[in-house]
Amino acid sequence: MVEREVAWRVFAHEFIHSDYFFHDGDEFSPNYLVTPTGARVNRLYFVGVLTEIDNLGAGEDMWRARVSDPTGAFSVYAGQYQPQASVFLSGLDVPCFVAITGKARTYEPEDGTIYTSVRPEELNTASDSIRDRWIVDTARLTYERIKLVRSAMDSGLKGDELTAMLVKSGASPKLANGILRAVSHYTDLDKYLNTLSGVIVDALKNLASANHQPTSLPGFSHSMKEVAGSNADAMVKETPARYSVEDTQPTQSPQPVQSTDPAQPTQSPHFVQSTDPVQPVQSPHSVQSSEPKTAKVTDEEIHVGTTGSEPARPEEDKPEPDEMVYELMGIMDKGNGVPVTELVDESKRSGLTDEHIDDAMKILMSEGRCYEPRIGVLRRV
Amino acid sequence: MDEKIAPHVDEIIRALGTTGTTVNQAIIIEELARLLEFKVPLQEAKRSLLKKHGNIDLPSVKKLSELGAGERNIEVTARILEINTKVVGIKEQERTIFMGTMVDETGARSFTAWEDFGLEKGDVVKVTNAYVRMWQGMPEINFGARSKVEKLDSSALEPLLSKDLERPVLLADLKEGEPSVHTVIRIMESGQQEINTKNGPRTIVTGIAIDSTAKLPFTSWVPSPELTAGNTVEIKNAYMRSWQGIPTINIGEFTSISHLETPINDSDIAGVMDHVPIRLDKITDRDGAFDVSIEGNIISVRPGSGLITRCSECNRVIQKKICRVHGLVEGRNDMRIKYILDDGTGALTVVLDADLTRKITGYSIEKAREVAGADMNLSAVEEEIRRKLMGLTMRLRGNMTKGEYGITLVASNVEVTEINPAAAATDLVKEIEGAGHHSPGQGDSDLW
Repeated sequence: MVEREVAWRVFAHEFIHSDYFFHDGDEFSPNYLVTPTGARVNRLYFVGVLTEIDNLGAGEDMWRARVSDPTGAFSVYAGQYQPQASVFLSGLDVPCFVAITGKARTYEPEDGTIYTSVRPEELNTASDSIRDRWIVDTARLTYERIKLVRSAMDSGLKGDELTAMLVKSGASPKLANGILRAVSHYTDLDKYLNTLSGVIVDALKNLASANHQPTSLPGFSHSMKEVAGSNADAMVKETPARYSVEDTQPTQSPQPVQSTDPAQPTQSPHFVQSTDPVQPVQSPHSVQSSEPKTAKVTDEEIHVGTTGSEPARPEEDKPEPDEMVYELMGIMDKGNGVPVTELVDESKRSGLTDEHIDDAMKILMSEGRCYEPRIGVLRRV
Repeated sequence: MDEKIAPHVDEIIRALGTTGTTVNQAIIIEELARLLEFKVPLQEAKRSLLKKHGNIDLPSVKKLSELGAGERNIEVTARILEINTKVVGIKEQERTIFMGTMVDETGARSFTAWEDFGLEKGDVVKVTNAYVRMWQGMPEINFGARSKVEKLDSSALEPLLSKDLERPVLLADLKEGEPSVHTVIRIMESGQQEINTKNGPRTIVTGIAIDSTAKLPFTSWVPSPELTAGNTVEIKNAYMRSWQGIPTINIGEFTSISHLETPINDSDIAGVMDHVPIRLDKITDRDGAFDVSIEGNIISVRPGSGLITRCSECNRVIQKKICRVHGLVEGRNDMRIKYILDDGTGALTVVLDADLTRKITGYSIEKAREVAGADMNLSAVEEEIRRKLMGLTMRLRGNMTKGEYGITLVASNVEVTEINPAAAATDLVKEIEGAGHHSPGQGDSDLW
């Protein structure tokens, strides 16, 4: 009996930062991509937003897709040997949620860099709840691997002794093997683990506060979002785009948690409706159902937010820049996205500075709320 | 003479001498050197020379875990863990044989001694010219009149091992085929059952045992008042046998059962009783599992899911109304789903029957027939199920077995589970930030 390869849960951030591929034994033995946290990935499973789909064509039927999670994007290639995957991908409208089980692949051009990608085995459209669940599950499993790798680095043990220690700490023998390999392969692992932890925490905070933006209704209004924000989840808006690979520098901004001012009275959803004559039928369900949840989050955030930096209270009479930009993006989109230049102009007319607009776009991109279908064009997810 | 082979040549000549054979040293040297030239392993070369010149069979030295069916002339060194006498009738004569369990650093095996070697529990013995027979599906060491049994100093074996065996083993750690099991269990259910054996009807006790790690079925071939629901008992020298792929504790005539005054409490078994899902990497290690709970994502719906046809005679799944045993049959429709459940730490195949399929897809057999349409397009049903299920998180209960097609759980219950992602995310953030080892964005990440 051949044991089935486990479908590992890794975030795109970790997947694209993996560059250690190996296989044991003969040519028929499986290949593994060892990630910085020691996942020994032959197969993986992920749920994200399909943001691009291209037929690479040229006689060959080869489809390339980009699937984004809160931390980065997976590249998915389906060729002639994945006919079902190709048919599936070619029939989708971008953007949408997809769940993919696939095999890890690498591509090494001459210059020594390694690109990782996924060859799909099974695909399906997914929902926001499946995606959110995947984020939570993946965050937990990744966090556990981070802890194990740290304990491995701190232990000073090697070889069998280290394996024994890791297995005793709850790692499977496969993971223990992967961690041994990761620790000896990756340089500056500690720094990367810090980065990855930060990325995970940001993704989780986003989830803790967000009310599934992608399902938002077409007429989603400023004030709605603002109330939702000032209720509990204004923190997201203060969070710089820390996921992007380029931007992992220390952030000066206050911790996202602190943006919730404990003293600020919670506004009720009814308040919104009565003060927003333009949108009188703003899906009361979404607001009301979100109220208990966000209120609960508020409580917990208060406990967490004890690091003492300046609370960044969201301006009460004005929506956050990213919400304004998001809104404009929706209004201006005639179906093919909005040119960035036009979006900037329009945003300035609404009183935002270049800096605001720039930040807002970054935030929206990293939260997966908008994407770039073509260079210089943005579109809401 | 080559210095390397000199001691071996001496050894061969000495061994041949014990049987009264004298052989010219030069011949042995030449033949041994020649075999070695052909890269025959030294042990094998010596063995073949002894066989050739003195008709001596050197036993092969084995560890208990290496023993396989049909092996002859083996030598094992092990500690007698348990020994019992039994009177059997052989060729209409009564004879006393000795059955028990022996153990070395690799594992435990049952044995039968056909002669009285004066063995006692705790003895460390070297047995030469023993042989292996399969007994109840496991290799068993046999030795008799032609075997040699030598008692060794008890320090000849690691003492650690026998100490390990003194400790009761948790149910989740019990392996199939273990000949000597020591465990502490609480009896969950127990009942008498009448079965027919070749020696006529017999009453056995069957039931379910539980501890803090798992539930397992048990079968007692002897009645015991201790095996009553609610009792906590310590069981020694039971053995494991698989019953329908599930490891089962077997209690035989040599098993001791003692009632424990300090019971396994409800709180100890709460996790198992409440069906808290077990991580797949922890459970796929086991040889099988009884009524376990697991949770994971459906990452692949397998072919053969959906509407199927079974033979009306034998229930086999059939294609195109042809049963491979009963030929052309009418067949009857049934539903099932086979899918891969994966939680990121392990994976197994799950099988859902028609009722459970209906529970999670809403498809009755009639509804599935509608989807299949007049031309019975079965793949349409399968595709529809795939589309509905792939990616969902499910919690399952059932029995897990291992077989040639991998690890399978036949579900007794299934439910789609949902969480509040915001609350779960908040909890996890607290945990990560509480651990303090993290500081977002800290450090220079240019390298990455």
